[in-house]
Amino acid sequence: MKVQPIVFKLFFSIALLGSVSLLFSCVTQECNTQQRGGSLTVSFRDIVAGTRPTERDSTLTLLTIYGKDQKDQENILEKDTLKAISLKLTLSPAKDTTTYVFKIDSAGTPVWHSLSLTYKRTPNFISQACGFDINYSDLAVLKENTTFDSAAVVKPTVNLPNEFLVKIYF
Amino acid sequence: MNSLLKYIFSFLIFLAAIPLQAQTLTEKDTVLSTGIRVGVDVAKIANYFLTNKTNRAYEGVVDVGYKKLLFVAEGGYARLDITRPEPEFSYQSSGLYGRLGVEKNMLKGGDDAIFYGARYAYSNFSYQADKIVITDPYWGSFVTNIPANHASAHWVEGVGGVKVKAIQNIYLGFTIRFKIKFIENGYKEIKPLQIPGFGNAEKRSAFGLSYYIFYRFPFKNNN
Repeated sequence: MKVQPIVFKLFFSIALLGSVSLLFSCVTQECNTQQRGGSLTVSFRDIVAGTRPTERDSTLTLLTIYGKDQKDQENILEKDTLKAISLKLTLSPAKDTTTYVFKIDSAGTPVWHSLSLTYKRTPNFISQACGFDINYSDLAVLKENTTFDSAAVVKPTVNLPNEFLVKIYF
Repeated sequence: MNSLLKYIFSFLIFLAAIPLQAQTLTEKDTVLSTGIRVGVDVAKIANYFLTNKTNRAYEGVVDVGYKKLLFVAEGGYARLDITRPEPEFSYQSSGLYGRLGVEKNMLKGGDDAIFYGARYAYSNFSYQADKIVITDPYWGSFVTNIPANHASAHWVEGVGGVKVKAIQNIYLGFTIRFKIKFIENGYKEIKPLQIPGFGNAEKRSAFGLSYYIFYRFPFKNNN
């Protein structure tokens, strides 16, 4: 029974490759990516009447915004009053409809408006460490639950990161 | 379909080119035409025990020499089982795969081989995710699952490696693979995380490594 010299070379190679494999396998998998929900930029607009009506930014004084049917109706923006021409909100991953309630300061008097959006949710795998997030698509305004003059979704389907643009006419 | 024809055509040209080159060698270059080798991939078994035990795979190989070529058939079973508490999800996939191909020894004669070659590979598998929980601190949680889904994939491989005779009828060797996937069928809702025999389903190409221990069954007693 004769052991060939090349076997020693092979064992050396095995040891080398095995060490590299072990090195990779020992790297702890950590999630450095924050799970991303659907992100929504709401832009407030108004229409200037005339022979040729034009659209322009409108500034609202927002007192609070919360999700309808949320138990604590916690403010999802800053607690302080916010003057805004646009703001970012998140879509609810829990349902295929999200309804926001806006409490707006209208010349010292608070008024409430709502914006309701429907969409399709699809799980999207990120990695073993980070798990899944959701792809949102087919975003649409649910008119019967929306009390603004009108609202329009600029792009109903977007690629990751899920950032939609909705214009609210006020 | 055009891409499939293109890949198959290229693969056939590659296979056809090997025997043409081999014909220029002498008769003594013929290797292992007097026996059949059966082997197992020990790296896949070791990988299960040395890592986090989510990936279980078994692979066997049979090769036989004919003229100046070595014809190879490889087959295996792979199962991926992930259960995570945070973020919460569980995922399972399992399936069979097989590869057929040829190898050409760059050494002249003898029992040892430094080889290159090619494979055509196919995998048939199923995958599912039982509990996916996506939690939002304000809105609450989305809980869903992906029902069992059957899928398949085809790919080609360029391979290279070493096979050496350790002791009588026992051979050791490793094969390094470069895989290019060209067909995937049956995906619904989400893509699988892994294709048995190929690896990461997100990627179109991948590297692989097999470590084999072979036993050679001689056709003749004097070999």
